[in-house]
Amino acid sequence: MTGWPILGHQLAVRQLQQAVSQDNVPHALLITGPENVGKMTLAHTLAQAMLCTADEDRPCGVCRACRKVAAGHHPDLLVISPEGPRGKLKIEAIRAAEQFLALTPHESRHKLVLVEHFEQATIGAANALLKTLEEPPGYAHLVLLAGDSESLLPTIVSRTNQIALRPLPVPLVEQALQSRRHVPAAEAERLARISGGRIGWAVRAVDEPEHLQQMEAAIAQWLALMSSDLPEQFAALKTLSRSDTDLRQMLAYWLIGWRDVLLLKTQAEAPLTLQEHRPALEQLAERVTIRQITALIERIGAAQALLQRNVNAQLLLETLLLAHQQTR
Amino acid sequence: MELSCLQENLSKGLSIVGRAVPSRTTMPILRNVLLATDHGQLKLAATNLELGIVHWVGARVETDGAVTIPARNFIDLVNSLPAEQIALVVDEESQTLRLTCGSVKASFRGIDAEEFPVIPEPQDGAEMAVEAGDLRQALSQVTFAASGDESHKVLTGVLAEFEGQTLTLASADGFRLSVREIPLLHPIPQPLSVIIPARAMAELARIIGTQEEPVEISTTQPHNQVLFKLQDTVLNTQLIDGKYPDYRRIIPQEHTITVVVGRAELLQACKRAEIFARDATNIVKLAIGDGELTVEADSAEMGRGSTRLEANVEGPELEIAFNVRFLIDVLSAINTPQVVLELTTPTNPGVIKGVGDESFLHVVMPMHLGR
Amino acid sequence: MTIRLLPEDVAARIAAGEVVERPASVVKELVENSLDAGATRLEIETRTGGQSLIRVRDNGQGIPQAEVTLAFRRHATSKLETAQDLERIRTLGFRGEALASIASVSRVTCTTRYTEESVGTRLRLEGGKVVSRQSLGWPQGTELRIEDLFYNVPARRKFLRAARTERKHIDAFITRYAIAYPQIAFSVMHDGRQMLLTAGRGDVREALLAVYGTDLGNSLLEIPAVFAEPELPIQVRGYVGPTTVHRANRGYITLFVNGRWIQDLRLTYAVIQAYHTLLPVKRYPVAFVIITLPPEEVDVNVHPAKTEVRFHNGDDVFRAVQRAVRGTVIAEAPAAATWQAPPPTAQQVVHQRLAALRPASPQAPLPEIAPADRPRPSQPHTAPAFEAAPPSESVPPQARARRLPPLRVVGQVSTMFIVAEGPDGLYLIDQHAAHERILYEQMVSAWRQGDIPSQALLEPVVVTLPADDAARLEPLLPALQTLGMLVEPFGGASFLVRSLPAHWRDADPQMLLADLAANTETQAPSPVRLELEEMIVRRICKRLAVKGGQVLSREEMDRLVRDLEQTENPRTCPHGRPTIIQISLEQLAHQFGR
Repeated sequence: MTGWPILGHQLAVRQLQQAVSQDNVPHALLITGPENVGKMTLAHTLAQAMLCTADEDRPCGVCRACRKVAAGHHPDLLVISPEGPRGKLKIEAIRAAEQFLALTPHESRHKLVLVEHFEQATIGAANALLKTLEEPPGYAHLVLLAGDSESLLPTIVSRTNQIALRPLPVPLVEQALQSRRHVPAAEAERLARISGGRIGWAVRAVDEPEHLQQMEAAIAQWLALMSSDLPEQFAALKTLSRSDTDLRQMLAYWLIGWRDVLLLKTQAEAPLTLQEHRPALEQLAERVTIRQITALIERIGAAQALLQRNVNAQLLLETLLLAHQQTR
Repeated sequence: MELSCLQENLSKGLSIVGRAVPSRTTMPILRNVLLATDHGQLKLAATNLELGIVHWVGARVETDGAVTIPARNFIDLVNSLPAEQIALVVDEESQTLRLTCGSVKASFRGIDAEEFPVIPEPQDGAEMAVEAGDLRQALSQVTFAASGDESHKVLTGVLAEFEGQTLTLASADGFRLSVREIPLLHPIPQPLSVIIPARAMAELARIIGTQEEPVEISTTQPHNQVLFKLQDTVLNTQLIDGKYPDYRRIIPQEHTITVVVGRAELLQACKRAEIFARDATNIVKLAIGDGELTVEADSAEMGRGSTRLEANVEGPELEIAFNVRFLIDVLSAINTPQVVLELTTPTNPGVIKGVGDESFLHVVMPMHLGR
Repeated sequence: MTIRLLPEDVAARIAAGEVVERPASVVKELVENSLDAGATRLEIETRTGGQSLIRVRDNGQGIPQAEVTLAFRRHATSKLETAQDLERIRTLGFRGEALASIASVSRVTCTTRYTEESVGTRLRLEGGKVVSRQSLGWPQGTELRIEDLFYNVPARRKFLRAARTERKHIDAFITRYAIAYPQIAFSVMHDGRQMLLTAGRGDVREALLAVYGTDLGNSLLEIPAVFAEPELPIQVRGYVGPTTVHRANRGYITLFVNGRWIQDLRLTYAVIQAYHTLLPVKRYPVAFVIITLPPEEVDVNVHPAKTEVRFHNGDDVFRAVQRAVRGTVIAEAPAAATWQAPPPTAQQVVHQRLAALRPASPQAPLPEIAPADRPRPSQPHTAPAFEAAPPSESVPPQARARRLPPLRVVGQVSTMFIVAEGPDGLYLIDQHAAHERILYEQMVSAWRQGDIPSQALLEPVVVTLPADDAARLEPLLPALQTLGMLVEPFGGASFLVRSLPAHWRDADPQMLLADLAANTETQAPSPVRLELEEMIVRRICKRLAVKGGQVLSREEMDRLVRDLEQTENPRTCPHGRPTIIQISLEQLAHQFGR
């Protein structure tokens, strides 16, 4: 058995490979893990492997089915996602999936539906899916992708086989950027570190320069926020919460910033991720205690989880900022 | 690919397969029609992933090949051409189809045929076959009763049960049930039961048209699709997965009233009553008395109308209400001169059959006027 | 206050006529008696629309033992002593015949204890004759049970409408009093079903919410005290709808004078006039206006049903009401409530100024307040007592004029709106709201006529709901049956659906029931403003109506518009939102500066 073209996640890959070769892939899979960690890549490869027409070493990557999956038009594969980064996964999308699964497979023995960002499903959508999960046709396979399983309906989680993906070791990402993407060593090291092991983020940063720019902008905004007064902060937050900024991503960048502040504060030897902002970070470090920083990091993490549960973004950010405010 | 064929043949073929081209789809390739050479003929194919149609057109093939072309534009152009020879040449490199017909020249940008969904083809030695006439009539008697409600997918299909010498087709929408049996031309060893989307069956009825040759029926392994092979056309359909309700339990075993009445007369009376029942409910009353059947509709807004028909009635008097659309649907599908209604009480289901035809049966639930 | 016989002259001055017309008038008499007795808590219970039972219990002062029998004698009243008293009527039921009249046509049980006595009395009467009397312990206050109303007057019994209709009249009455008397806790039960419950904490808003529902109740504007007329002894209080809220008839205008609900054509017109130009044509405001003035300024003794009054200075009252309401509405009116003309261009301003220099038009502008002494023949006041019930969607004749002209569909915009053209301009139609209206009227009109055809199912459908939803659904089952949907409990949280209303044949039973059960929760606890059935119809129509985002074919749009033309109230959805916006040719021309 040769490997799947997937970096890391060995346990999950081995588990799924085995299921494919023994033809006992569960009807409902739930793949969880942080953003850009490789959930979709894994699900897509699984789909390819299940639909591949080669006799062994599936996916072969060259058969007609594999090429169709890669090109996004295999008739037995449906991918549904919410509308927009903060959009909801609506019941209509789930209905479309039901319709799709109601008919027998076209070219293969299986039919797959990949559901992206399932945590953004409306209650109605989740309940509709529950029905499909209860008695799926023999050929049907649902692969749900979500940030974590806690924000999902327990009735759904209990009906799925869960595969949790964790961030990859940073050196592995760094190595992959160098060997597969030919990124210069220093840059690869930096991107890998910022990515925190979320390979998808690092790859996007290489492929789409604007992705990196977004991060720079978010960091600059964060530093500005930290040095402005409360009314200014609230005004800025109002704009932010109403814009279509990906807030979860933004909070992730804030975390990177606080991590650097913590490094400065503890006078650790590790290099700063945001080396270019060192003076501003040092200023910030002088104003806060280590305990405050760790408390903030926890709060940001909690806020990220809450955002997935569709809380009022503005309120959430305001509470977060009030917590920040206490550090001044 | 290089070939030539007659405009009439190509146009007719495209009109047949064109019906499988979806008007809305998330997969752009499905808006294309497949053109491929096949054993010295031109094969046309289209699919909406529920139903696919393949049709073969006589052609003079110079070199083999295949391409897919945007269906609507191609069909519109071919229909506009003079009834002459059409030459088709595909440049494999650019996936471009060039067409020449008389003084007309056109070219279409296509998509690689490899990307088109695989369309199954029947194996030789079909497992099952039925007379075209039987199937055509059976479809007209059954498909109308299927449900349009996509949330109960199995009911949007027609149940097809192959067993021994008989194919039984059944459909139901929650209020009515149609069952029709037709003979298989040769017995089959293994019974088979599948649910076929009613939309595909309606399309099949259209394609059978006036054809008289038997229709061969086969399935792909493992029973994912059913194929109907006609003269120059193969229709394939995906199946609906699920368990069809046990319709035999629904058919009433007994009745107390039998009404025999002329089919055309009853149909006419129902159509007349429909004029007065045209609000959202379509309710009509059948009053069964001694030697007569009165069809009556009464609308607060429009007025009332009734027709008294002579009928051969056995059993007590009865008043029972039905949705007149349902009656018109079934009466239009029966082709015996007389029909028999088997009834019991105003709340029990009614059974309608053609007199002298044991192969068809329809069950319809009554309506009630509340309070 | 004790009960006495009215002197003959007083009795004579009282307008003649039967007091007891129908169960609602009994409730009215009893409730007003209770209010007079200083009650702060009132329980009203009816069965079969009041025909088999009307029970009103209060915690008022009660009736002294010595006077209980007297209370049921004709022309006995504790409220009036002499003819002069009539001039200063501050209490509500001023005529003595109320209890006597009621007692003469029913079986009455009166249980009461006077506040200053330690023993209560229970008196039973049949057809006005005392059949038993006992002393007993009883909390302070009075309970009157009126059973078998009209049992001895078969002719009257025949004229009683369906229980549903009678209930509606009773509700219409009590809901108004619940608002006017927020300090009193009202509880209304019909056939064991709680229909209204107010806390009696003196919070009018709470009562408004309970009666009008959250949306409408919250939207109502309070008439501020500053609009009281200092120079006049007239006080106007109350609540009025903003300009965005309007109704197809005047049934939503309620007037109280000195604590009594009245009908008054002129004052109703004063309220309508206050909204002049603020509402679409032939639409009427929602208003709850409470007027207080010295008793000598008003003659209540015009009509035996006591819902009409005569003012000594009618014009003053008219002006006071009109000013108070107008002031409230103008202060709160959002700038863009209706179609707004764009700011004039510089050129138009010049034109306007030039025009202003021209001699005045020979036609004098209409005075803002129309002369009110002449009745306006074009707007007949059709609503007799109790008929103008807010829950009623029934359409008075003048509303038929609101029907749409024939429209031609032009197209669909962003899969939500239909654009159509009519003889008088452009119409924008909200497809969801319009379809809701169509479904609703089809169903409600069938239901009103009493014949909802139902279509039996080939096989009963089993629907299982979450346990708490099932518990909420269960009480709705009888109502569902009258709507043509036969649903039986099927053990546990499951139900067996045997038939569907023919109008909703294509609905998914599971979805319908789940929807109904889930929604009931949010509507609790006071669905009194609507019949249960009507509420069910509303909810289901909302669910079944075509949604925004659905692409409609030309045929579907034509059909929808044609059906909408057929409805009685084509311009709002059943929830009161507009279905249609009209832009007249003039407005278009104006926009284009033509």
